[in-house]
Amino acid sequence: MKLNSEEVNAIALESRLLLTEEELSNAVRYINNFLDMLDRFKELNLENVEPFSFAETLECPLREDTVISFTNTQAIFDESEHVDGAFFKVPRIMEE
Amino acid sequence: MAELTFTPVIGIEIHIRLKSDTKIFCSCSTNPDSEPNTNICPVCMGLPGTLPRLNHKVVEQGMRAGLALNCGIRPKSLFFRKSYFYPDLPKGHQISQCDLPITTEGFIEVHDENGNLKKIRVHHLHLEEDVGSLHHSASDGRLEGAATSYVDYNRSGMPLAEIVSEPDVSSAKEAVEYVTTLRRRVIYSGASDVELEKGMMRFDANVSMKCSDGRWGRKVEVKNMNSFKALERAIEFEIKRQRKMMLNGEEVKQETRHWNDAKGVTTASRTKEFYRKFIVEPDLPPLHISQEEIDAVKAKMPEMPDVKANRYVNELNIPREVADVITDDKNLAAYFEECLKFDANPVRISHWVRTEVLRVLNETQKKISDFTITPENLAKLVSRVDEGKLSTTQGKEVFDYMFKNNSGIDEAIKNLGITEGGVAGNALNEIIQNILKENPDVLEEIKSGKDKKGKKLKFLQGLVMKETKGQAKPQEVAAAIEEAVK
Ligand SMILES: [Zn+2]
Repeated sequence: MKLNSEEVNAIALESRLLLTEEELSNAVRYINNFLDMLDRFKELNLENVEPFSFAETLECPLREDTVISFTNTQAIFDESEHVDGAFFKVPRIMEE
Repeated sequence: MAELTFTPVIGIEIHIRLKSDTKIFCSCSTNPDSEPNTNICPVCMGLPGTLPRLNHKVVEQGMRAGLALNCGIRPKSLFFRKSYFYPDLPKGHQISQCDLPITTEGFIEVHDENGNLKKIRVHHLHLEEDVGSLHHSASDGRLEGAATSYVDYNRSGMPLAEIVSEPDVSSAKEAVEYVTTLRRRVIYSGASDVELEKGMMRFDANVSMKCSDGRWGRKVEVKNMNSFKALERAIEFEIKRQRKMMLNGEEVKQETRHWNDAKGVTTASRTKEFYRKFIVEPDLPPLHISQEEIDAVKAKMPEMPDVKANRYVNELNIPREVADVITDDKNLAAYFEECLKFDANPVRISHWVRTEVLRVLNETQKKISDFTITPENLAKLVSRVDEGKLSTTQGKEVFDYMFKNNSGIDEAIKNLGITEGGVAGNALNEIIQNILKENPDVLEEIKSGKDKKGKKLKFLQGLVMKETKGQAKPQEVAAAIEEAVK
């Protein structure tokens, strides 16, 4: 599998990244090298091998369902420059 | 040329709020009535350096909901980060089990167009977090220019179950029955109250059309339906739209469309769909669920509504329609079953619940949980009417009195001045009127003066005495009948 520069640029835009010509060609080379490496796995016999999904062997720690209110919500508001009363202000995005 | 026929192929995605006290990954409250932006913390606000901690209760609720949909529970599931740039989700990604869900492969039964049972397969149910809510006017209600929206992050991180069906639905009607039945079963399971008016259930539908000439239109995803009615209308609209396009030889292209409830149309989405980019959530190791835990949740699952309704019909001889109405509401069914503990006839009780209880709840816009007549008092009332100690009219008077005054049956009877066992006055007249209605020929004979010896009057008296089970005074009966036939 290979990606062309148009596809890589589309992915970059999805990630909110604007790439210069040079950055784009580097990214294309980098990503395709990586995909080449993945292609090599196809040569392996992976029958009966459970797909790898997580690097640790930990189990997911679970939490009791007990409310602990965060008391310093003001600090969160203070981090935002765009506040109006009890609300955070964001650019309007309307879906019609 | 043969006429072209079209078969809709529909899959449905449902989001349901699961019931828990705290959010899925932090200890903030899930209270839906809180003031805006009060149930927020660094975790659900996506601040750097925070870690999600999975709520055990949400895992259990997901299992319950899955079991209610006849799904199997997977011993291992995993969370992913789904990239999502939108101001209602401050992390920039939604944590979701999209790829390795907690429960899979279930089904819900609906009736097809011929009234036969048909299985709609449930592909899976997975756990994920909700996003904040956007308001397009300020807190004081004033609408500002188009530049700004206002966000309340109380909803950010609320626990959701996403339920994805296979494309087995063939009509808007089937879709509505699917979501209605599914909702009822999830409520029974205790996983969620699924209050529609509070936005606890939202729908998306994938609609495509198969034509008898072999063409198969592309799949259109319709979003933004928040009620059963909206789901039904949106699917009907989309079926018509795609059918018309295919009849005109146009190609239906794969796209996302939004349901506009006010205008009753779907419109092409202007925003381009995001790439569905997932990575494994590195902060949440795989979720393992032991067989013991699965068995424990299974053991706690209550009887499902359709199973319950069948039991009412088969074991208690309750009419199907009445059984379906009572089991439609989990709490109403629980109330009915409480009544059965007090020794009254189940069929008679079921009719009182179906008609009188639902009538006053409807009239007063109350829920069964606010109903003031205790199961014991209703059971006693039904028994006394059954035994003829109270006429049906008196029974209803007592019922209304108990409901309005939050009183017991004896108090109600006393305060209404009813002499129990002595059928007289209005109750007696009611019985006489019914008997006269049932015997119009006899009444006619008496009125035309043919009953010279009074035989027919005696005959009527006998019927009335029998109906009152001997609880009325014969002289009163005779007098009342003579009055009634005048
Ligand atoms: Zn929080």
